[in-house]
Amino acid sequence: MATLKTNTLTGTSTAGSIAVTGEGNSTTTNLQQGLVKMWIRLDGTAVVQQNTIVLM
Amino acid sequence: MSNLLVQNIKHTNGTTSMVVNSSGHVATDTIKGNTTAGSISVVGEGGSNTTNLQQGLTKAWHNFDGEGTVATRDSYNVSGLTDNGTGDYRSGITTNFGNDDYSCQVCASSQDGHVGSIEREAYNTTSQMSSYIMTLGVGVDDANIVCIEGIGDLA
Repeated sequence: MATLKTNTLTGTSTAGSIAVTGEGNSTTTNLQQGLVKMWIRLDGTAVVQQNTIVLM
Repeated sequence: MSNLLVQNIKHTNGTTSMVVNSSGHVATDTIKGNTTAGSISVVGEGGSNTTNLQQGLTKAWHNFDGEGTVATRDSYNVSGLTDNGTGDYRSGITTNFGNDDYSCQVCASSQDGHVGSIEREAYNTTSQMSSYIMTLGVGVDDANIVCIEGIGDLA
């Protein structure tokens, strides 16, 4: 097994575009396009922003 | 610890594999598994367990206007959009899934009120994702914003 240790990945041709070989071992998908950029788990019983949330 | 000072790592045939830029970042255009091309482990946030890079990537996503003349706003790995009637859409896939058992999420927003959205399993294939939109009190309905994502094995 070969292991790559790094803190940052960057595309060579385009910094924000890296191809990743897919599960079928032939086609590729794009790393940046496929990564989840944000996620949140919130308590729906709490008022998050009272000025902008209308409680129904 | 010994240091190897290098800027370019190339195969013996001259093909560049990766570049170490002046910030120390590893720059490469393609990542491929060594043992299995389509499988790369990534150490998780806890620093000990691993997750799989390929399995964790969204393979296709599509944001489109489902009202009137349907139109794509933005997408990845989507070849086109088909309007199959009220609240009924198909998103074509450019690079197909490896099977039709992928996980498909649909969400929608409309000024008509509360919108429910589902995938239609029977119409999900390796080359298309389907979405079906319903508005409370209305039933099947077109929506202004429809978003659909597919996560699963790539062909």
